[in-house]
Amino acid sequence: MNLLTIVKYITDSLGPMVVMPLFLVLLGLAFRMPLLKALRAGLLVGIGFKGISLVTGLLMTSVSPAINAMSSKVGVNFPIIDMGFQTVGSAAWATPIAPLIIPVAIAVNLVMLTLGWTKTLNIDIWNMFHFILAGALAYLISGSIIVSLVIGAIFCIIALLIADWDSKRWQEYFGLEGTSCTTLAMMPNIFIVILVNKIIQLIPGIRDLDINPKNFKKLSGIGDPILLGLIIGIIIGAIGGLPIDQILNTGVGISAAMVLLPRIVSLLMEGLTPISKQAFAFMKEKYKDKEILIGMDVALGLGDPVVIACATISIPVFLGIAIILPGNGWLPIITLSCLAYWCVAAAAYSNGNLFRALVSMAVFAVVQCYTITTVAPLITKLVIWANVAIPQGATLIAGGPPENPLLLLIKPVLSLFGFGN
Amino acid sequence: MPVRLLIVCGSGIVTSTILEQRIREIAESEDLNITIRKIGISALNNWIGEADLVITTSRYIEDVPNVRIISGAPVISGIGEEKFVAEFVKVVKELQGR
Repeated sequence: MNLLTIVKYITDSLGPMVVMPLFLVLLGLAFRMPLLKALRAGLLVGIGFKGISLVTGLLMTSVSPAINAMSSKVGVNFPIIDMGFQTVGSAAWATPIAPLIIPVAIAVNLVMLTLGWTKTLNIDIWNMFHFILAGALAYLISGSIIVSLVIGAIFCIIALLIADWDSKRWQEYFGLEGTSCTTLAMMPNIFIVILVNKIIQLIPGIRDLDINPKNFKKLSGIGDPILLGLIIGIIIGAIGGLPIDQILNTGVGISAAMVLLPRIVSLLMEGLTPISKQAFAFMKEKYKDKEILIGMDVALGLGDPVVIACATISIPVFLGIAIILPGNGWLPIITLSCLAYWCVAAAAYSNGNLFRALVSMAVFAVVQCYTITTVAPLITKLVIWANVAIPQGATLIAGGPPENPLLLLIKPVLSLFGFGN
Repeated sequence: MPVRLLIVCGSGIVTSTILEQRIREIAESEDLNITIRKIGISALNNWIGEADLVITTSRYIEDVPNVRIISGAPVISGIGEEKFVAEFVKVVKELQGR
């Protein structure tokens, strides 16, 4: 019996609600976690995952009147519903390929550390969903488990190498000695920011511009998901020309989804945390005599005032660009509450210049809209594969940050080697 | 009165949950009376008035009157964690003593 048959059997008969906790319990046990503790952690992950489908349904019911009205009355089409990185990240974790890719990613990291090819020990287990995502898309394109594992491993290597290279700026700008940032989805933006800065440097007058982040301090409360959901609902309802009762219902519905989703996905994280702690305590011990960088979540760079101001001002910028951009099919909703992740690179590589960070974010918004529009059909397939209930009426869904531009390379590269169609 | 903690990361999900779990462990072993709210950094301005102590996953640079802010980054990376725990316990005890 080959690997694929076993994997197919496990997924088809048990489903992700059982497989994901089971895998995590085994992972916990492998790193000598007590059985009951591992069982509890694994179950929490499954429970959090189950809850996601409830919120995606609510979000869909809330946004569809506005999206339909925008399409029929204004002629702007947004077939891709933004379910947030939480949904797509969790879905990646729930694909049957996850239990195969996670051990590969950990092994690749350990081998590279031992050989001295990287300095980073990536302990950010949640964001390993980016490697699962890449591997899962490769599987959906090629139908081959081996290809999927190779692509997952390549994305893991890319993340480690860029993390090493970026670590100097990351440590200097954010004051996080001994760490690097391994969140793959934030890396393509680094290169856009560097390019934008190089161009601005060439333009007299513009190159001297800066904005003081203090000017936007009062505004920063609108990034609160409770308020932001309401505001976005009102804006897209109004653009669609909905009657006032429907506009308000859209706003309150989106607000509810934006507040509930993090609470539910927190349960999943509560399960994942003790397992990853156990696993990485084990590994750190092994490398304690070596000079290593601890690979961290991009969230560690968020406290900077330029990042916070940039994230707030980027909300209307992102939404506006998405609405007017020709050929874009993605309307950012949940993603608007977590633009700060991308602003980390924008601020660090603009050396804290808010003007340049904002210009970079505007350029990045264009890149990201087109990336998501291109990759959404595959992402939707993946989410269905993971058994997340796709709400009625949704044709395509996306998560926002998970659809990073590097994913666009998978299909052409695989077709070079004769995989896929 | 419990000390009101605000734990802040990007979206109130991932790194803030890692911090929250560690802080609950510390609070239990040190017998600290606390309440915890987890939020994303974009919501910080709206909640900061209802907190005694803010713990961010990042190094928060700005000063806010009447609120103590500590970086919880050492808990995530494990680098300097003992120092964080000592400071956290000291600050919470100070705040409890008011």
